[in-house]
Amino acid sequence: MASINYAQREITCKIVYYGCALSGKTSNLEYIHANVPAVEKGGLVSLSTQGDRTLFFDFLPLEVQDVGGFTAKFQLYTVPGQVVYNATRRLVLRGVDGLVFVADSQWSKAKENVESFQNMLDNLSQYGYALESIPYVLQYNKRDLSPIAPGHYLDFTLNRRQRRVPVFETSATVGTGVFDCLNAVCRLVLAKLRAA
Amino acid sequence: MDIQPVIIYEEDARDLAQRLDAFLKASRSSLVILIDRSGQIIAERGYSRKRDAEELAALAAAAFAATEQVAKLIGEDSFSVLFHQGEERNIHLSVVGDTALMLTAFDDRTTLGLVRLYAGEAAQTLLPVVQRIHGRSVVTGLPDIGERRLFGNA
Repeated sequence: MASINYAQREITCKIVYYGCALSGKTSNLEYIHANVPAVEKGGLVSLSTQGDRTLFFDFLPLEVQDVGGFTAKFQLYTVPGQVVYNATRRLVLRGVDGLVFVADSQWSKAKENVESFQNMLDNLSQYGYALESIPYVLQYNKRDLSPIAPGHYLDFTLNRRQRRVPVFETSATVGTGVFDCLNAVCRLVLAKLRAA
Repeated sequence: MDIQPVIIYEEDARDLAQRLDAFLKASRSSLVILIDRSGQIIAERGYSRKRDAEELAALAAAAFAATEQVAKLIGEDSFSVLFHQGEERNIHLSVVGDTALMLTAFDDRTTLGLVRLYAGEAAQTLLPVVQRIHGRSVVTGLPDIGERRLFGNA
């Protein structure tokens, strides 16, 4: 849930990276954390298992000074992708202001992507949220791997709702497209707040 | 359903600070953070490093949410209080209405009983302000950033 603090001139928004297991959600945050100047970031908190799989969430606070006289803060979260962790996945969505759906571009993950997208819709509905009213973008990740589904196929499976959303082809481990995607969702979230 | 933002004006910030300061003094705690259930800081008094407070808020809200689910599994609606005891410092987490949490950090200069007592009273005084800031829907004066890239420009 965004907060607008006129006393401190701060806007704070929550952005969640959602997607199936091993699609690269944590890799997005790791790349962002490694490549954002220290003054713009806090620590990357990862609640993960011993095997480095996300157990609850990753959390990375970012901020930019002087955004039209405000400090804009974005709190980035990931959800655990593994099916078994649905209860914790749902908790992370509480008060979400913007979503990045991270799809794994590999052909072998096509079904998991669709199931994860549907799972996101189901979990949003548990809070009475509808995707139509939440700014979101799609990220087709792992474009550096092979064999991968072409973008138009992923569009056909994931971007066929009434509102077509921006799509970013990325390779999160090396950073290709990661900031384009982050900037886009931040812009959408701020624009939505302005229109409130 | 549209998710309404929390909107805090000068007078809200002042009211919250007064109430939280009174709680800190009475309970002899070192830090209190009022947190939205989604993990964002609404107000904060006492000593903490800026980034620590943000992480504390995110983790505390998550811990509370997880515990709430545990409560439901054993037939309770919720647990109204969480307490984490350390060797030197402790954390007390309690609800303020349906939308906010109050995190209190304290050490051996006070007792759990005192913190619990005053946390309950503080929740009552904070609730009207919390309801006020959650009940607004008109947003004015926010910046239009156009196509500006906020991150990754280095």
